[in-house]
Amino acid sequence: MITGTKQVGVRIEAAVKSFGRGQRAVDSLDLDIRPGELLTVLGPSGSGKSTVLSLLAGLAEVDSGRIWFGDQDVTALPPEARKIGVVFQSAVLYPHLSLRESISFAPKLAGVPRDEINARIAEVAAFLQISHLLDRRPHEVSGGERQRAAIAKALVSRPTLLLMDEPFSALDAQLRRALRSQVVRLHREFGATTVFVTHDQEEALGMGDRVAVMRGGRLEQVAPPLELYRNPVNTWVANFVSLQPLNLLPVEYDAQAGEVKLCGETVRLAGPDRPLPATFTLGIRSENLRLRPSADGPLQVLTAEAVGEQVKYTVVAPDGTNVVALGGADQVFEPDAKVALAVDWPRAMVFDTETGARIVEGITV
Amino acid sequence: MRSRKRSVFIHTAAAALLVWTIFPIVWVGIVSVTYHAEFAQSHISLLPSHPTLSNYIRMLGSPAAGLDGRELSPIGNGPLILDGIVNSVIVAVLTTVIGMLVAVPAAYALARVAMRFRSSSLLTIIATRSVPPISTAVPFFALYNALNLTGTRAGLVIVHLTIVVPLTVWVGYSFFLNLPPSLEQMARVDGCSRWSAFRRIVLPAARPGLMAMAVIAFLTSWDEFAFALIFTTGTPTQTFGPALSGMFFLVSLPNEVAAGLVLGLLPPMVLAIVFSRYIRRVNFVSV
Repeated sequence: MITGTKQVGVRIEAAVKSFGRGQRAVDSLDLDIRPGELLTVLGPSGSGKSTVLSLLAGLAEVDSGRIWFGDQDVTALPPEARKIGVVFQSAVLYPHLSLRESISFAPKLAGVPRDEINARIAEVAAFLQISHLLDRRPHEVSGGERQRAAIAKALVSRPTLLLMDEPFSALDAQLRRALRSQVVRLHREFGATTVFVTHDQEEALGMGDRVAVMRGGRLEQVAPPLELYRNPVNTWVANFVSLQPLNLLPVEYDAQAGEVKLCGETVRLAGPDRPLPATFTLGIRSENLRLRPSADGPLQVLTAEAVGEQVKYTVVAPDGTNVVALGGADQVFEPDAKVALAVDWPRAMVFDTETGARIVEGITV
Repeated sequence: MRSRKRSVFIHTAAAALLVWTIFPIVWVGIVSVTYHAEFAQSHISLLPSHPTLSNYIRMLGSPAAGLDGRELSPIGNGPLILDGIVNSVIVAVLTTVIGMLVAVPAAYALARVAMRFRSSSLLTIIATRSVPPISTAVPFFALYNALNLTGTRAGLVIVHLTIVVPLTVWVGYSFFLNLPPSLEQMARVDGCSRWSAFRRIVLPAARPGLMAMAVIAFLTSWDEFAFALIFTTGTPTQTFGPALSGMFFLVSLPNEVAAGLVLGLLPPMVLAIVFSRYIRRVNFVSV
C-alpha cells in the first residue's frame, strides 16, 4: 500500500434524506463501511445509491441521522472539510485547466508542497497510464482517459474516503472491464476506504469486498459477493444480483411424504431440517438448472438462444410455467423437444411465497 | 440529387443575404474615401479614381486638401465625431463593467441557487425586454432633471443598464444552466468554499459565456440611440449616435457623413471580429 493513505471506517446511522415533496431518497439507512474496504453499492435507478454517495460527500445534508468517519461526526461538515475524493459519473475535470492542473488543484489548495504534489501525480499517473496526457486539456483526451484522469484527481489528495459514482457507465463495455480491474488494483495499492456506486451487477459483484444492495432508499442486504449471490435475503435481491435469469417457481410440498411437485415432476427431499410450508417459491438460477433428454419428459423446449459457448433454453411446464435453463453446446435441444429438469438442489433457494423472504438455505434430495 | 438542389438553394440564399447585408456597408466605405466632387459626378461608381482620406481627416477636426488641391476646412465645431466615439466607448465600457458585476451573480444565482419565485423572477426579467425602452423616457427625463443627471455619462450608463442587465442575465442564465453542476461539486470536494468554487472554477469555466455577455452588453450600449439622443445631444457627453445624426444637419455631403459612419463602425466591428467565436455561442432564441 502507498504510504500516506489513511484508512478510515465509515458509519451511517439511521440516515433519512428526502427530496421534493417528501419523497424519501434514503430511508432509515444504517451502514457500516470497514476501514480500507471496497464497498460496492448496487441498486436500480431511484434506489437512493447516488444519494448515499452525496450524503457521504457532504454534497447533500441528511434530514436526520448521523454520519461518522472513524470517530469523527462529519454530519454537519461541508464537503471541503471531509478529506474525500469523488469520481463522478461524467468525468469531472476543469475544462479551462490541463489534466495536470486539474489533478493538482486540491492538494495545491490544501497547501501540499509542490515537489510532493509532483511526486504524487507522477505516481498515480504512471499507475493509470496517463503520464503522457497530463499537459492536455480535458477535451483533448478520450472518454476513458478523462475518467482515468478523474480517478487520478480523486486519489492525489490522499483522501480518507474515495467515492465513485457509476464512473464507467458512459464508457463502452471493453473499456469498462479494463478500468474495473484497474480500480481494484488501485484500491489494493492505495488502500483508501472506497465506496463504488453502480447499477451493474457484474461490476458490483466483481469489484466489491462487500456489496450493499439498495432498493427504494432502503438497504436490502450487505454481504460479500459470493454470499450475496448464494444467500440473498429475498426474491428481489436474488433476482437483482443474478447474472443469468432466475427462475421463481411455485412449489407444493407434501410434508408427510417429504415430496415436492415441481413443473409436473415429483421430487423426494432429504433436507432441509427445518419444516417447509405447504407452498413456497423455489428460486433456481438458470445456470443451476440443466435439461436432460426425456421421451416422455413433462417439459417442452420453446426457444434456444446461443449465449457464447452456452445455450439459453426457455422451456414450458405442463402447468404453463416458463423455465429458463442454461445448457452446454455439447448437447443441444431443438425447439419442441421433450425434456426433463436436472436441478442443482444445494443451490436452490426457498422463499416465502407471500413475503418473498428467504426461508431456508439449500435443499438436499 | 434533391439534397444537392437544396444545398445550391441554401448557398445561393446565404450569398444573397450576405450581399444584401454587406453591400450598404461596403458602399459607405467606398463613398467615405471618395472626394465629393467626384461622387457628385457619378453616384454609382464602385471604385473612386482618386481615393482619399480627406473626409476622415476633416471629420477628425483637421483641414485637408480637396480634389482640386484647395484646402477644405474641418467639419463641425471641433472633432464632434471623435468626441462622440470617446464618449460612446466610455459609456459602453462602464455599462459593460457594471452590468457584468450585476448580471453575472444574478444569472448564476437564478441558474443554480434553489429559491422561491425563481420562475416568476425570470419571467419578470424577460418581461422588461418586451417594454420598448423609449417608453420609460419620460419618467427618466423628469427624474434626471431633478437629479441633474441629464447630459452626464453616469445618467446614460444608468439608463443603458436597465436595457443591458435583463438581456445579459438571460444570456448568462442559459450559459450557467448548461454548465454541469458537478463542476461546482468537484470544486467543493477539492476544498473550495461556495464562493471560492464560483470564483476559481465556475467563472473561468464559463469564460466563453462571460465574454459573450460582455460583448452583447458593449454592443447594446454602443448601438443605443434614443436615450443617448434625449440625454446627451448638444452636451459635452454627446455620444457617437447623436453626434453622427447631427452631422446630417451640419453638413449635407454624404462623403463626409460616410467617413463619420465608418469611424463609428470601427470599434464595434473590431470587437465583433475579435470576439466572434464567443458571440457565435449565444443562443439568440433564448435571448
